[in-house]
Amino acid sequence: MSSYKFARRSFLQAAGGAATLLSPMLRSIEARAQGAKAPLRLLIVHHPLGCGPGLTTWRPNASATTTNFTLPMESAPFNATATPLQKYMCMIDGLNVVTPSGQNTHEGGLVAVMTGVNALGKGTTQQDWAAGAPSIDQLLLDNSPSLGGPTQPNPTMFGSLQLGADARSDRNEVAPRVLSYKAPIAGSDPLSRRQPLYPDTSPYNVFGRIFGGALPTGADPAKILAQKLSVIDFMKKDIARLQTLIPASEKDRLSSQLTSITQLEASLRQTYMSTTGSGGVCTKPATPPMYANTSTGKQMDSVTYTTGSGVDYYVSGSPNSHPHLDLGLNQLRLIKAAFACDLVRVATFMWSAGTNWVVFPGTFQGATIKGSPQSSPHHPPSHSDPSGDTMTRDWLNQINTFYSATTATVLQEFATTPDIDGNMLLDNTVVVYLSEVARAWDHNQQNMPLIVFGGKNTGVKGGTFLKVSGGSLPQQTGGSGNRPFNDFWLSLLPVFGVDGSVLSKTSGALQSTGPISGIFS
Amino acid sequence: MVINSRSLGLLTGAVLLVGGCTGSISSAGAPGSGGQRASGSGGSPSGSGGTNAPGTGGGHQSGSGGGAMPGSGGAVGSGSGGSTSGSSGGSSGSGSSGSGGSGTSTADCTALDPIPRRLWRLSVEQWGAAVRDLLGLKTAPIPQNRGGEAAYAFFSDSTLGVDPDFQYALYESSQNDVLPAIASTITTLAPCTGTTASAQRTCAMTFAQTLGAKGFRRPLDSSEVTNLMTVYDAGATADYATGIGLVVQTIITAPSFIYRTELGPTTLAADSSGNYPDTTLNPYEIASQLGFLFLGTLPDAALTAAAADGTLSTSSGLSAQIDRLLALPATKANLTGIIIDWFNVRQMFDKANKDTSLLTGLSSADSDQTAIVNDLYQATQQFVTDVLWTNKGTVSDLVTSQKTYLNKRLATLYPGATFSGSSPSSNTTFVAATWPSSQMRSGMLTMPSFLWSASDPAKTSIVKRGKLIHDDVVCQDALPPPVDLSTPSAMNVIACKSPDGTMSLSTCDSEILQSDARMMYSPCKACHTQMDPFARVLQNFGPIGNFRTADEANRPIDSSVTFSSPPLAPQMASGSVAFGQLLASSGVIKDCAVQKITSYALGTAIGTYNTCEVNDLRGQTDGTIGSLFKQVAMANILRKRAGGAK
Repeated sequence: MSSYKFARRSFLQAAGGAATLLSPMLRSIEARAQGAKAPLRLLIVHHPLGCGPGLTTWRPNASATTTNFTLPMESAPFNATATPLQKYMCMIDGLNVVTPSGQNTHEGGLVAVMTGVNALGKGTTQQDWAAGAPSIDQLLLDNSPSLGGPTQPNPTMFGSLQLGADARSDRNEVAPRVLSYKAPIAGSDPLSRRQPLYPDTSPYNVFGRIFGGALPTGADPAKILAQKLSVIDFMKKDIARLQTLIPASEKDRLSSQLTSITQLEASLRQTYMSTTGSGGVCTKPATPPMYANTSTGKQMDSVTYTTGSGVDYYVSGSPNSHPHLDLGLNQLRLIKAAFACDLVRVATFMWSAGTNWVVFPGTFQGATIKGSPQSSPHHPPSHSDPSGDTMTRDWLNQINTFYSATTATVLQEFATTPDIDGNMLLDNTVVVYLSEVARAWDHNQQNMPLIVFGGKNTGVKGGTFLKVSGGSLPQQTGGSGNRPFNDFWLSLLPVFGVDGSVLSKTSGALQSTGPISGIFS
Repeated sequence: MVINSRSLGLLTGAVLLVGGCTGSISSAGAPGSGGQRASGSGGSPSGSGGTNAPGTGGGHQSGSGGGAMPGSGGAVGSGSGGSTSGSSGGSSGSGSSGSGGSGTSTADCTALDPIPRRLWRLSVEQWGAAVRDLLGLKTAPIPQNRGGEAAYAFFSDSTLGVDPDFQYALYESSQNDVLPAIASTITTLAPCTGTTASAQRTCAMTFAQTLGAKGFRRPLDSSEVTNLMTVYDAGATADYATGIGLVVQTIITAPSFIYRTELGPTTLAADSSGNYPDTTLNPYEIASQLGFLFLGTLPDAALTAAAADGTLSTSSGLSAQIDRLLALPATKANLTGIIIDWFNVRQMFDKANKDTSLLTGLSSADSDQTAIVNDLYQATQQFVTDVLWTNKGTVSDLVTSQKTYLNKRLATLYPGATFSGSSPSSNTTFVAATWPSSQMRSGMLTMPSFLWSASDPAKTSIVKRGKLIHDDVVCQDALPPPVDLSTPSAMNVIACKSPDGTMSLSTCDSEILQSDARMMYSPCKACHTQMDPFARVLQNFGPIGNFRTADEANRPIDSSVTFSSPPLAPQMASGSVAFGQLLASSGVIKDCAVQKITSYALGTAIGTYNTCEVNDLRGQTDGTIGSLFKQVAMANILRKRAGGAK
């Protein structure tokens, strides 16, 4: 593992004349070296299948106040790390996702939660809802002056990251496997219009792409980079040639590939620039392992329902091997490193598809699923009625607890990793921990589990349990007073300098009543 | 005997589609385009009429009358009794199904949407094969990312692009797989006797022109050669080999290599209103099309020459090239693979996770399921080759043949077959065999590979098998998405109860009983009466394709089925052999083969059975593999492209 701090001269020598991508980064690094403010980052982490029914295992009990509360089983892990995270968190209770009939599913829920907009429609398979707007992370990337989006004055090298630990789902559908979407393109077919940003589930590939992999020994980095950039230049010229020949209907395809080529260029520059200096907060992480059978969400059977292959928590015959855990940790740590190195400022991470097919042991953390099988994928048993099947309920609650605990492990590292301004990374990072439903067994989306984390520069009111009220929507446990989930996004957008009207006035926007006070200062 | 109507006294053969199987009427779906950018399905027909459209062109063969299902008069292509429901919006007719009608254009057929001028991305397999053949590699490189393409997609989806992950993966493969593979053969790949920089540059230019033309499947223009030489020059600062390596890497990662162009003449110009005229593929694009269709890779030298001398632009020239290609071993292997993919058999490579109790007949050394599925695939390859090539059979023979190929392991796992010679003595040799008549095997649909691939780990899955056959083996138009299965009524039916939960139909402890409930009750029966029978007729074959007479609840299996929906209604099949014979005699299997191969050739799923252009092709082929592919390749739709706006 090498630490590096860019040296201006070697930077520009290696880059040659085409230093467009490097100059903003270099200026930013130099500015930071002089003690300037660190940029804010955004990380959205999705955990599947909501939380325990009735919310008793997720949210503090009725005696809790805004600032005096105890986290129960499924959320307690956030406070059980060596650096308790309760002081960084604002747990928000009382938000509902309100969608048109039929969209209240894992698949439809993901689309609704992440875009805040009605889906364009559904495909021929059961639940493939087509996203009708960019996801919140992309909306912020495009509109915030501080998140380093590609259209902003100081873009980061890679724009944003979409990572995942697993993407198997019930069917070959996009909706359950994707958090992030670019804005839909014009057209008449909803499924052709949407622009999903598939999560990369291979830490090894992510590492290579973002951190440039390993430099060959004995190489002259500047010369090799120049050679590789000549290949990139040809690609760009080839694109330019094709652009003179194609009809308008093909422009988007080539334009997207040009973006891909630009990112490849950035990856190559990363490889051959990271060789000098030491110190600084940007540390190239160790090369992660390669996992067999990572599911990308793109390798699914095209006709029948299948789960494909992936990396499980449970490995038959190896009780101490939990590759799903390791893979997820690696991915979150890559995001942490990418934030620290200012390669991106926006990232999303999915522990799994909304219909999670990661296999867990039949007895997990002391709870045994009904029927006592050796193992089970996560999603299928979740539709067992918890009132009649408390064994499975408890098993599911333990999995929810697992996801909290594992996410907490990395958030603790965010809280203890120095940032360029002398604070910790979490002081400059907003982390949103959410799910696509509240209650898995019947897809209830009332009182959606939601926590936002952030340290002192994020404005997050840490140590807060915010019980939203004053709305007209029903509560999961009876009564009303809940508010629409979009109200949370309307609260988040201004943190990054974006006016809420970019969402609330978007065509097809789901219900909202306005920002929620008490989450951010 | 289990049927979907008579003994239960419920169905009359007509299924009215009101708002589809979802139980609600949504707005008319947009016409399906058969593929979606970066989603990589490539297989499910989406229908040109939209999926939930009760109006015109709805996706149930309802023609211009809109969404009501046609009656059991049969579908186009099922013989003299067949026609779609037409403008009356569906009726419960009872036309006969005829005998082997091969479908002709009808007045209410759906015309294929014009194929636009387009860029068509190579599939991962095509890219690898093209690189292998361009450079003479032993094996094809495999990028670590599929760029939105399903692992076992039937065809290369024409809507796919190159996202950052895929771009990176292609580059990495070129760097880590290809360059090392050619490192020791650069001097053979790009021979040069000159030793000066100038002489070597001359060699490099020749190399760049030649390899570039072959890789891009067309002559290069001078600016492209200049640009390639810029790359060479960057590498030549090290040495000649580095420069050549960079040129290779550039060519195989260039957009012109990754995409097949279907743009027509390069001189095509937009008119004053900014629209290009409709056109046809240029000769080099035709050569590329034939290469990737028949060979699965770059066009060979003869195709390129025929493009250069203009003969490929003539019907006779095209026909001659196709005939030549069909005689090549590489073509036979490639087309065999396409036929196997039609039945979606490769998905079994992701299903090496069957309940081990199904494998108890094998020794532990032979129980490696990865090895078993590889055996099954090889056996299937040999079966298809034998039926369609060696014995020049038709696709009808594919679903009726009693033949199989077994190695020692498979012969143990699937006992009872009779070998013409000695039984197989090893796992490396496959021997031809005939299934015993008692097992009622009949071609592809009873091949263990197909059944293994379309089953769950421990049970058969009537839903999966039924949907697969409905959608892809008999090419019925896509059924609407199912209802929300978490609703109380749906959950009751799943539990084999009446929708209101007051009546229990059965103990619900088997696939068959669960299927009975789905076919009996709304909101499930509208779709499952169309799907489940195709699987019910195969219930004598378990999750690994093992023959059985009792199901998982130890009840005797009755695999007799009466089909109440197109395309086989109102025929009855008393088991799998009769089913295969029915598929053959009705012409349905051949008609579906035409539809699937046309979809493959166009890179677009044709989701409507009654498609005009496909109907025309159905009438032109005799169902042999050569005839199927040739007629499709000769069709005008393969070369016509809509101009589009500038």
